[in-house]
Amino acid sequence: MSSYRIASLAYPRQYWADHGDEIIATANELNDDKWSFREARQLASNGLRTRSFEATGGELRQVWIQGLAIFLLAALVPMTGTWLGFIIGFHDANFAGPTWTLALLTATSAGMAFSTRWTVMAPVGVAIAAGLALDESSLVGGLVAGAVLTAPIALLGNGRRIVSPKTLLALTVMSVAISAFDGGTAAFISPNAIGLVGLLLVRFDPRILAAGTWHALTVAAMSGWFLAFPPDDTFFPEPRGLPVMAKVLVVALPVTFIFATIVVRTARTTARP
Amino acid sequence: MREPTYFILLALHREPMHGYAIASQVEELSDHRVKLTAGTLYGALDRLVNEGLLEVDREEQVNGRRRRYYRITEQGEAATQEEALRLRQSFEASVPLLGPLPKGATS
Repeated sequence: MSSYRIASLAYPRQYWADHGDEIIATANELNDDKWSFREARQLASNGLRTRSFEATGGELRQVWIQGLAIFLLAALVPMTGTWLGFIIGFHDANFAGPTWTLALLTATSAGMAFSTRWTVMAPVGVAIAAGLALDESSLVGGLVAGAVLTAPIALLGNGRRIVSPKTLLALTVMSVAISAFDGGTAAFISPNAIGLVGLLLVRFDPRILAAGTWHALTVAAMSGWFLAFPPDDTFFPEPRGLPVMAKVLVVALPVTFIFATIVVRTARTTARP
Repeated sequence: MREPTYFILLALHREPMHGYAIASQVEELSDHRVKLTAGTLYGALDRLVNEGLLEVDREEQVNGRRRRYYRITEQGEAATQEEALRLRQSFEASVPLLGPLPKGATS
């Protein structure tokens, strides 16, 4: 008696309940009732494909690219703001890397905001990764880990465009403005980025609550983790402009709001019959 | 169109079949070159149904197990014809250059 129990775990539960017996029967017939490694491998592979297909409505590539784009946005836009703030003279915390790399980040942010064809973002993302690998070795681990983690998380998205260009534009402008004004330290950027991303996603894209909230928040939180490792000693530079109390509010309010919103919405969704 | 996809569509040209019969027919039609596993087969069948090239004809219970029979759609027939034409054109283009191919050569 052959068994493909482990391989079957790759399939969505309902799909396997509906078709598992038939697939196993065919597998046994094709392999003369002997267990086959090739069969098990193909079953696992097709199971994952079926799972991702069901999760994304078949628009797998779109969702992966969106996940990567959101990650880049949440992680890199505040860095761009930091750099702009340094250039303009708001603060002196230029931790964010060489000018050409950051110019690329700025272009990327603009591209994300205006592009409706997400596939354009893929080579730009690769270029940024390459730029950071060349110039900011301590950021590479975070970026790579983020990208690798983002891809499976993106699979859990709903397959539609998760963030509209209008939302991305608002995100970019606000995030750049705040981090430029703020001095752009990792300690303050991360909560800002998480709060802003979450807040604006919920504000402008209510549908994200249906399937993508967790996705967006996890990506944002991950980028916060990524930004928590600045490459030099400007972890707590002196901010200019905002008094400490205002900064605390700027950090705390969006984060509190977004988590409260999610708790409330989740409770409502769960309460539905 | 990939070769297994072509042979699956071709196998269903005459009559609706269930998964195991399709895989056997594909192996026979391809002169034993294309050997489908159940994972690959059902993945391809799901995809082709989703693309509208195949549809589920009926389901039967055999020894307590459900068995789906698939049939080719008009769109599937058209895609198969198109691929067959493309293969013929490739073959006809190669004959003047390669000369008559040895009988039974498959690769």
